[in-house]
Amino acid sequence: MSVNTKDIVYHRPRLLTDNNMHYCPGCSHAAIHKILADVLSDMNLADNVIGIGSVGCSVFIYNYIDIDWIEAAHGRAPAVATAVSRLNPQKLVFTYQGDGDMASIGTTEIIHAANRGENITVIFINNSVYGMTGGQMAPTTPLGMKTVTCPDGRNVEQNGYPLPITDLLTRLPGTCFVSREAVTTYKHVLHAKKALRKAFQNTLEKRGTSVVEFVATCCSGWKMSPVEANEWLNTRMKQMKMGRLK
Amino acid sequence: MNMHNTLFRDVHSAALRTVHAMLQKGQVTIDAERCKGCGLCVHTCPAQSLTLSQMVNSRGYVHSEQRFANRCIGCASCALICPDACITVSRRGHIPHHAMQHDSLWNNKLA
Repeated sequence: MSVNTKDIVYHRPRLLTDNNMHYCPGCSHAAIHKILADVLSDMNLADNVIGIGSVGCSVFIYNYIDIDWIEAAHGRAPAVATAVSRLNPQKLVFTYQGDGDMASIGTTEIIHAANRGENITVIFINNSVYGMTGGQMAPTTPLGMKTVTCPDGRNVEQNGYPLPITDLLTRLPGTCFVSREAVTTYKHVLHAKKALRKAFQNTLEKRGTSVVEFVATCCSGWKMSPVEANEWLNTRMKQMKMGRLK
Repeated sequence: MNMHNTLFRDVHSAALRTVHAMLQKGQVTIDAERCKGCGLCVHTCPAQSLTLSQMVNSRGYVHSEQRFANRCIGCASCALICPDACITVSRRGHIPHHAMQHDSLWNNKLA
């Protein structure tokens, strides 16, 4: 049977390598890698992009997407991206950070990089726990959510309020595009692809910092099955403002 | 008589299979070795065409399979939601060669 490329509705993105990803079954990281590879190959940017990886579950991202990568120290990806984008103004530079990396240890770097309006895209994966170390409470954990280190749920008296880092970044004049996306349903996946494309386009046109937050699941950290985790996140997303924030 | 019954059943089921194959709009090919059995594709499929298999792959994961191929409408929802990008979707009757090489279940697809 001959292959007609017109008859293929969906195939594995060509920029993904053949390595099997180490993520748990149903992890949002893997889905976001797929979207990222899809958008980069759609925009023909594979030879013209430098990604900055971060510390967390996504630390081995350079094994999975076939582009140039730099692995930054914990939380310092925006600082590395600043240098790379200033030295290579013709390249698209983006960072890929989790919430433990960006909203916790790297808050300084992201706030100042966004405030300077560096020409980078920040992909922020917010799964509201420290996934790699076993699901401990993170600064982004919502009130009332149970984790390993707050088994009765997060409360204000003991743990304070969750840090809305994406909402903070919308207030800065240096950011040009801030969006909150998800990958829990195929509609969200298609919307997220559009947002990512828009963010990369802004960076190529040197308009300032673009931030795309992905509200993600962590099945192992949340102690849920992948389907349950997606359903839970879908109900939680109704209380959040999704889509373009700035 | 028995022989006739068997013959009739065979012809009948072959005809049914042909009709089902004609109704089928899409073809899903799953790379079973890459699948981790998270079940998101099974949950998201609007036509209930996919199920989790009884078999495990070489890494010990129960993988998903297209048990009811004739229900597939080729919408690619499963491929979009699949975290590990192990699903290829094509229109009916056109199966990509690279996908066939990986798919151990291909021979049982229409059975």
